[in-house]
Amino acid sequence: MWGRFAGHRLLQLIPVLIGVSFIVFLTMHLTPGDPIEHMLGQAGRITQAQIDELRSHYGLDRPFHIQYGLFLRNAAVGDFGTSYSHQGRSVSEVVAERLPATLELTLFAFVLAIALAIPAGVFASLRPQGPFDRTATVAALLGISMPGFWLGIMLMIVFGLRLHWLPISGRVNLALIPQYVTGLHTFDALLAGQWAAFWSALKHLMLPGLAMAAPMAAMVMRMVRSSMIGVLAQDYVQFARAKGLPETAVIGKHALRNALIPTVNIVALQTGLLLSGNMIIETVFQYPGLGKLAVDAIAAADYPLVQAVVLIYATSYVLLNLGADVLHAALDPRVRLA
Amino acid sequence: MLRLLFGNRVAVAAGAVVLLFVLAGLAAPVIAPHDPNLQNASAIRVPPLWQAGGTGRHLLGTDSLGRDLLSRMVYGARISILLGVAVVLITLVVGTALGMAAGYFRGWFDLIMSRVVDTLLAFPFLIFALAIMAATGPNLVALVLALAFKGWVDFYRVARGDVLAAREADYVTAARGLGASTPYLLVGEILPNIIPPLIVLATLRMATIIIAEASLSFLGIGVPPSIPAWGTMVSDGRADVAAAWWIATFPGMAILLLVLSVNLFGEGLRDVLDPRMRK
Amino acid sequence: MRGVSSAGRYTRRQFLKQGAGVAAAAGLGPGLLSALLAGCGRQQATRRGLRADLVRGALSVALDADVQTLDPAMHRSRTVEAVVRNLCDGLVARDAEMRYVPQLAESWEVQGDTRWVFRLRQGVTFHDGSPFTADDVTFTIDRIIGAIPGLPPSPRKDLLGPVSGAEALDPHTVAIVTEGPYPILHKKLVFQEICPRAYFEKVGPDEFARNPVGTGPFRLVEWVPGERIVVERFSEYYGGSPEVPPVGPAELAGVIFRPLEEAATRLVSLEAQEVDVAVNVPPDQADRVDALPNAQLSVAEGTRTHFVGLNCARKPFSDRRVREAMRYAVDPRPIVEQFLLGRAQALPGILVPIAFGYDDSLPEPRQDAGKARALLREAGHPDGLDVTFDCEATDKRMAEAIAGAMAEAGVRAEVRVWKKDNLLNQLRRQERDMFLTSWGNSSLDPSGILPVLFRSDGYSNFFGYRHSAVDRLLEEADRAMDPDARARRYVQVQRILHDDTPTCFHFAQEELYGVSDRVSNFHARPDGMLPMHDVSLAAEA
Repeated sequence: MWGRFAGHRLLQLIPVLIGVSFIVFLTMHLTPGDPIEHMLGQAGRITQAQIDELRSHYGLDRPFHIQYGLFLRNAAVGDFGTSYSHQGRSVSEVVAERLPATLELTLFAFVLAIALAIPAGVFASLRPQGPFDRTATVAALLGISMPGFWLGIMLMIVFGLRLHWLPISGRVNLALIPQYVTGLHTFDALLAGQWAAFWSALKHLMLPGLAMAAPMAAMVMRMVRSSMIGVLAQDYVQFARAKGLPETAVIGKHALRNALIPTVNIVALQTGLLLSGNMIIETVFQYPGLGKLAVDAIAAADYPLVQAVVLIYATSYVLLNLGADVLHAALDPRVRLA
Repeated sequence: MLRLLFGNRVAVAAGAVVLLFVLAGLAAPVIAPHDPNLQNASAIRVPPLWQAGGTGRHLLGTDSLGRDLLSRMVYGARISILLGVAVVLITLVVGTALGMAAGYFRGWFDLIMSRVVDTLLAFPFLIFALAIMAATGPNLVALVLALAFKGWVDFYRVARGDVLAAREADYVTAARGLGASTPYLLVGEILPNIIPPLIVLATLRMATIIIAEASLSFLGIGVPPSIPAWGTMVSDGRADVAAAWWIATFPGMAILLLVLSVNLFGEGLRDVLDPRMRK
Repeated sequence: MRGVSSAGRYTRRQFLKQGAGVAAAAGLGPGLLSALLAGCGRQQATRRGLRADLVRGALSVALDADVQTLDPAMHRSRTVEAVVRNLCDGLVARDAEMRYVPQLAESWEVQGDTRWVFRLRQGVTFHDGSPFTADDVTFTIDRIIGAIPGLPPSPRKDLLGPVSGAEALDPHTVAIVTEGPYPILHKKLVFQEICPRAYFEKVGPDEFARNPVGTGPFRLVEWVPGERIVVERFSEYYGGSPEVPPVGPAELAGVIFRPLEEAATRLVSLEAQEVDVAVNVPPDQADRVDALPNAQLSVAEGTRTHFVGLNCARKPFSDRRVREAMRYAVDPRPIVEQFLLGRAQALPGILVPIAFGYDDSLPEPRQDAGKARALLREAGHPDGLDVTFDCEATDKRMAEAIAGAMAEAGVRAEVRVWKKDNLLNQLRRQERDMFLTSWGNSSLDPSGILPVLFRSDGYSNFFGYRHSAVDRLLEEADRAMDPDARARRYVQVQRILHDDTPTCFHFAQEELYGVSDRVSNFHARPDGMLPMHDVSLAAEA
């Protein structure tokens, strides 16, 4: 049953990816701006023959549907073509270079958001309208309403410039770069047992990670809080309390599990938003990841690169939702898999 | 119902703040102390009133071209709210119409729409907006379209779900039995019943749109620079953060305050209009 | 992919083909994954972490642009050049005062008008240990001028003007031949760095762009695109030009270049001591950087001229009176003084004063709003002029300042901001009416700017500008071996351009660098290069 469910959902991924790639393809072709011109932008005197040669080299002289068909066929076997703006290098290579950085930042932001939100939500729910609840609720409202780019700048000023607590740019102290295994410096450092490198990488992640995590932490905290309040009022929780079970067991075993069920979907949805937020945050912090790569690729009309990045974002979004559905089903026996 | 809303003091206060922003935006030419684009070379980076060097002429100080921050922020409210309303209206109408049609007629239309919606949901909005705006350069029409491109999906989903439920409701079957035409059924009977949750959603979407617009303007591809906008102002002040903190800080606070108020107001509205969604 | 036969029915083959298409599409997701894994696998081989002593002894530089290639012949980017110049030396170089000094060439002489003979330094080795010979010079020149078939065209070709070939006379002597006289060949050679033929032919152009080898004072350790370029001292360095002491291997253990495109991030990183040198400090931030407790400002006269361009081929600026009105509409001096805080110089024309052939007799720019209004009225604009005013993002503040100042003369300019390349392409197509842009001329020779912008067929003639006398004078100047004859022609061109006003509001910003107090012997240069050979770093306290 699980296999079929997941398989069915994976199949749904295909039309979505085709649709997404089609929209990007169409947009990039309808908008003015010729990639060849961009390629030659800084160059000197160029003859029409050279322009034509480049155009046919990149297949840009063919009709739209042929170009799109070729793209699909090549993409299916993992060939996303050559990037226009990174001389002679394949799109997969360029993307693969930036992926670990973004993966690390996003994972960190995700963990940070969850680590902040769930305990805060639980504590807030224990004494609604109490001082902690009020503080947390206000903080969550601010987190939801704050523009990420502004929060990023403010964090930079306060923690980087005024207090000198945390680094503002870069990913790790370069003297401590751990041996490359996954490309995620924190993981690599742990694998090698280099605590100084791990700590340095973690500090570098802190400010961009916090700016990225804020809205997600806020949404998840609110969800946990409200569903905990709902669950705590349920008969079975009251019953467990009446049985004389310690409060930690009541909350940990009975209430939290049930309260987390509705939270899973919110987490998936918010992680999707986390991904889209990373473009802004990476731009603010000049963080060398996919988001910044995407912004630069668009500016350079680097169609193949934009395509690949968009597909990565779309795939992760769909997979996240798939994961959430599976998890939801696993947590909640009432959910029928269909 | 109004009494319920007024019973929620936070929502009332938030509504008042939103109203204040709207009025300020509308009356910008009257209340702004200076022309928002007027440069004053002899008053560059004047700090806000309460700081050493601040003057009553520029309550919130000036930016690196000597433009009055308060005036620019008042005008910034105008464009933020204007764009927010425009985008929300467009997405509300488009999303509701499509959602109602899909929910009522089902069949192939619903099927196609659900594919389109799946695709759009997975589509990274910001990249799309960036791509369009990078090619056309900052202009308001493209900005509205880019912002609306994906926004209608939320309305679509709510409208479709509600229509699906309403389709079999007694009042609809009764009206249908009386020989009401399909357009009448949709607009005259069903629409009024599904409007409240849509209005709540519209309010909350407004908050999202304001942040999205500010983000695009911050990246330099949103509102054209000749129109003062909060996102642009934060971006302008970014290089100055260490020397003149106020330039980037105040517009950011304005965004925060407006979005916060819209959110609080929307949530208050939800409690009143749409008890189902109450948590 | 989708095919319907002429009869309107699917044939079996087409049906199969379509099925294959769907199957192919189904592979999109896994394809993505495998592509990424393949990409990751490729990198792993090259990344082993960095030696701690190298990082500790390395100077860290915040660049203002990312680097797309490290191939000296395949870019048109000043940032790439600044990095590559540390890896690869050229025949000729310039010192910090922009004097031409021999580098890999020991000396040269001109034979006739079209043949230059260079005597090469001996005992020089590339980073891979192979010796530097005349063969490498001919290879470098041939590759740039496109004389080697099968290689992509070099965007640096036009920087070698009419060079038609190079010939090794013996292992340490090279003759470079030009088609027609080319009086400034030695000046133009500072823009080309020598690449080793054997290594290039072994690894191919793609690998060379990632892992270049040269004779420079530093050699590449790693390049992580978008993140950093790390180079280390090349201990067998021959020492560099004897005319620029000290001679010998570099002082620094290495250099780490990091692209931080946002000026705000660069400065904050400098202030937080995360980098030692921040390039391209915005002029209005200069005083603040200078006042930092742990850093100071390093300043050089700039070679890039900013200007307001006017489209002479379209209304309203096709009318010379309207263009003249623009010249009187605004005075650059107070604006430059107030908004760039004196970190720029207002100029009467497009050339900077340190350029060859600069005409110092041009009248200083001034504002005369009354005259501007009168000229506009005369040209049929009694109510003033509404124009769009385009610029790229980094020039936005200045464009707004100029637009603000023009209002007094009845010019209402609406500023529009574009991404850099986007605007450049529109300008090349001559689609914009009025715009703020800039042109760098680090050669400091008018041949690097006047023909490019103002010849009828100049490839960056943004103005649709056509003037037969300008064309003729520029052509003559290109061929005159006598410096005085060249200078006279350039002066004439500058006067015509001043009266014709395809451009106005000229200014050149200083080159501003924020430099940590740990750094000694770093000198800002007008050409924006960052030679690190002589720079040293105080040990950490």
